Amino acid sequence: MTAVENFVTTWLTPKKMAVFFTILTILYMLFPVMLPMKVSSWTTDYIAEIDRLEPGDVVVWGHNWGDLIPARSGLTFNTAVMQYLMSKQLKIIFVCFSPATPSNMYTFMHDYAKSEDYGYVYGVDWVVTPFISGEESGIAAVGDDMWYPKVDMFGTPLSEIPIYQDIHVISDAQLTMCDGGGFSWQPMYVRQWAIRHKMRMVNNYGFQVIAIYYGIYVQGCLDRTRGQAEFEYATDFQGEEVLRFQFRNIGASLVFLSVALGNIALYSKKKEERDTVGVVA
Amino acid sequence: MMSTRIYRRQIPIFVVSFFMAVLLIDYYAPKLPIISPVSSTFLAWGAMIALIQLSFGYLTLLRMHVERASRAQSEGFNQRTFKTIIVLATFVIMTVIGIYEGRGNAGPSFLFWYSNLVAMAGVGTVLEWISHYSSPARMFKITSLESGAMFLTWLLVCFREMPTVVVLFPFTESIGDWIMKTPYMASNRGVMIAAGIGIVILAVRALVGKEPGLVEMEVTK
Repeated sequence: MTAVENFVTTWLTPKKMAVFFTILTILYMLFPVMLPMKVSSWTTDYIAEIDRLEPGDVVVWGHNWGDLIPARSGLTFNTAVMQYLMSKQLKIIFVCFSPATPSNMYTFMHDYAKSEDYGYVYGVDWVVTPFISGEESGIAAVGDDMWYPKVDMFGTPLSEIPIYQDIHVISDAQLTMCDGGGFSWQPMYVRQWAIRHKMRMVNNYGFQVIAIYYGIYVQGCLDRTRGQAEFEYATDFQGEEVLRFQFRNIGASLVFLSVALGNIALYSKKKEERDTVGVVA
Repeated sequence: MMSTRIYRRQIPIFVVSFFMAVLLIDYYAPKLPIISPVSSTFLAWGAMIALIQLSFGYLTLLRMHVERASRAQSEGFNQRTFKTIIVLATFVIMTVIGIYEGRGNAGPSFLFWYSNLVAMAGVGTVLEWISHYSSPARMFKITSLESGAMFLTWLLVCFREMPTVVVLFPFTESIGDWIMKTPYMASNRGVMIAAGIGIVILAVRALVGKEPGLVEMEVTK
């Protein structure tokens, strides 16, 4: 066994690493270092796209918070985006494409985005649709006819909801957003809303999935943890994503270290094998 | 007498092809007064059928668990029974609170958020440190020219994801952005084009009965 292998097997055991990372995480939580960071062009594009809107403009936010993955990683960032939209006095229609999304969005608006603090009234300034099934066919149906769900999440007819009175097709809104779901969902929004109805769109999910549309059909993007943290940083929001992104300085360094050790171990083992073969020969 | 192949494969393929043709014309061609309303109706049908499928899925899941629970008396209590009891109990609790609460469903929402949030955070914490630190060490061993190129690309993109590195060495952001905007985007478009052409070929082959696929396996079973 080489010295590196010996070090890895003795000191880098899963248990010891788990203890190390736990201590590191607690220390970082207690004493966040807040190293310098920069805002990328995709995030500034995203913010510029919101800043372009006038108070009272309508944003259609396609969402499918099905399970709680966005709540685990992205809750504070979504709060940051929502509060930024509310600070600009924009109206929001949440269009829900997963069974749990309507109640999730409602809880999110009350408990996290604190819509009441901004004077936002449900039905007047924001509304949540019921679950719309069919994935891409659902997205397309709503794009063609915003009144397709007929009622909101509580069963109130759309004809009684003020925010809907001037919104009949998606192009009556001024901006679309898409978030949640997996990699396949984001292109669905682009195809059915941005391309089909020539709508301006920003993406809250990640550059990888909309790269081929960026700059043509998608005007801004928050690139996963990086973009989300940059948004919080740029809008001066005290959120978790900034901390998560800051921790990447340390986390990624440790990843590099583990990769370097892995490669050193590999080559030292190969060398040892070659030497052994040489001795036997 | 109509063969199984006709009604289980040819007729569904014909029906799907018809719907798809209408939707495709509406998507790519300028808005036509006849096609557009028909296309919107088809989309609404599609969404409603998906809802029924989803309900069917939930009911099937529920039926399976009820069946399993009913077998517990004869087969004894095991780990699977325990999971079934959790599923059924959750279903009953959520349903009862949901019906009791009525509009808004604050109770089920509260339970869903604050039970799942904790569970998902726990699972994520365990999984993420393994994937972040252990997997790269195994993935990025440089054993060939190709793996070396992959390692280098990964390294450069990783630098771009480290905020302080970007501030100290701004060129790392430019390199990372270039990788994402040029080679990544080009390869992504290539994959999309290949997949698109592949889907069209598969569809045409299925339409003329040359693509055996899953349906053919089922009808010949």
